[in-house]
Amino acid sequence: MEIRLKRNLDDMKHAYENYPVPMEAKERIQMGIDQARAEEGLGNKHSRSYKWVKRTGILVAAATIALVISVNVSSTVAYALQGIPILNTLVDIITVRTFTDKQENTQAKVDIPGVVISGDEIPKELEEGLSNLNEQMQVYMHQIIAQYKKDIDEFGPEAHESLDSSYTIVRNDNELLSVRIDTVFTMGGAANTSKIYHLDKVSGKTITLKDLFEDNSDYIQRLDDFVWDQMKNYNGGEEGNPYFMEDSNFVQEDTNFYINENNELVLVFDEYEVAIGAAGMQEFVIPANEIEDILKVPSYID
Amino acid sequence: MKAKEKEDIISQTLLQDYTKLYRLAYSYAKNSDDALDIVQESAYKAIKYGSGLKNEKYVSTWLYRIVYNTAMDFLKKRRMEQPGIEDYDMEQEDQYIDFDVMNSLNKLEPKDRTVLILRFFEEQTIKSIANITNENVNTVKSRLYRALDKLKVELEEPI
Repeated sequence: MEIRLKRNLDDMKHAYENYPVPMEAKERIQMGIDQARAEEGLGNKHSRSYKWVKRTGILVAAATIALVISVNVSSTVAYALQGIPILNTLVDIITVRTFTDKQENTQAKVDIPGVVISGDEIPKELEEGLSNLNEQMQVYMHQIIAQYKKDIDEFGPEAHESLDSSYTIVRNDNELLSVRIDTVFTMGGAANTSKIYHLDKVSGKTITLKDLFEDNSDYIQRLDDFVWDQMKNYNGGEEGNPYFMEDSNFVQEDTNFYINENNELVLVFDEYEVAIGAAGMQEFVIPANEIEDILKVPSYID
Repeated sequence: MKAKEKEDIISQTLLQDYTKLYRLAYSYAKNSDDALDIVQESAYKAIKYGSGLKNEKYVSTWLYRIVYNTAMDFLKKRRMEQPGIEDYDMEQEDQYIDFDVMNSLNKLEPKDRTVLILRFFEEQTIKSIANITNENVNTVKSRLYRALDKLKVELEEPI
C-alpha cells in the first residue's frame, strides 16, 4: 500500500516536471529584466504601479516605466543625440537591445528601439507618453522574436528562417515623433512588414490614423476609395497591375501611415497586403485636397 | 560582490531556471497568460531589487520567494476583482491540457500546495522553504503533512 502511494508522488513529480512551459516564458522573463535595467537610469525617481491586464499577457505600468532613460546619466547617449531641441528637451531613439541568433539554418537580428529624453523640465504628459510608446514597441518586438523562437522550436533545423528588423525615425519635430520599424522575415520567400508609431509631443498621446480625422467622418471610406482609384490607374510596366483589384477595404483603422517632409499623409501597406509579393511594400501619398474637409484641425498635414 | 556582478548572476539564473519559475507561477495562476504575467513581474523585481539578495549562493531560493510573493499578490488581487472565486477553483484554467497533476494539486490550499511542490518536485529543504514562504519550520512541516494527508499519500521515510 505504502509503496504504491509513494509511486503516486513520484508520478506526480514526473508529471509536474514535464508540464509544458511555453516558449514565451523565457521571453517574458527577458522583458522583465530589460525593463528593470532600463529603469536604472531613472534612479527610482518614479514609483511604479502595475495594472494586471488580463488575457493580454502584458503588464501595463500606471506610471513612467521601461526605457525612458535620463540622458543626464549616460554621456554616450548624449553624444549620439540628433534630436531637434524643443525648449530644453531632446527626444531621440536608441537601440535598447539587439537580439541576435545564429543557428544551423536560421539567423536573426532584431534591434529593439527605445525613445530617450533629456531636459530640465520634461512635461509629464510627454514623459508618460514616451514611456507608453516604448512599452508598445517593446511588446511588438518581443512578439516578433517570440514567433521566431517558436518556429525554431517547432521546426528545428528545417526552419530555414531569417529575421531582420531595424527602425528609423521618420519624423521628429516640435509636434510629432514618428518611428518606423521595418522587419524582413524570410522563410522560403521574403515578407516585409512595417509598423509605424506616432507620438504627439505636446499631448503625449499616441496617434493613429483615426486621430487625424474628425470624429464621425468617413475617413476610411474616403481613403479607401482614393487608394483603389490609384490602383486602378496603375500605369507602369508591362507586367500588368499587381494590385488585388478584386479586394476592397484596404484601409483600416490600424493602417500604417506617416507624414512626409511635404506634410502629406502617406499610407503604407505591407507586402502582400494590397498587391502581389513581387511588388513589395506599397505607399500611397494622399493629396491634401482629397481629405481637407475631414481633417481634424489643427493638423500635422497641410 | 559588486552590484553589476550580482545583477548578472540574477539574470543568468532567471533565464536558466525559467521553466521551474514558470511552473511554480502556473500552479497558482492556473492559466498561461497569468502565469506569464507573474514570471515577468518576478523577473523585473528580481533585477530591480537585487540588493535584497545577500548571498549569491541562495539566488535560486531567493527567486522562488519572489515568484511566491508575486503569485500571492496576484491571487489576492484576483480574489478582490472576482469575489467568490476560490483559489482552487477550476474556472480560470486552460482548457486543453491534460492536467491530472495540476488537478490533484488544486485540491490543496495555495500555501500547502507551495510547500508540497517545493519539497517534492523542486527538492528544496524544509529550511529553504521556510525562507521562501517566510514561515517557521514547524508551520512548513504541518503544511506538508496536511498536503500529503489530503492527497492520501504516505511516505516510507519521514518528511
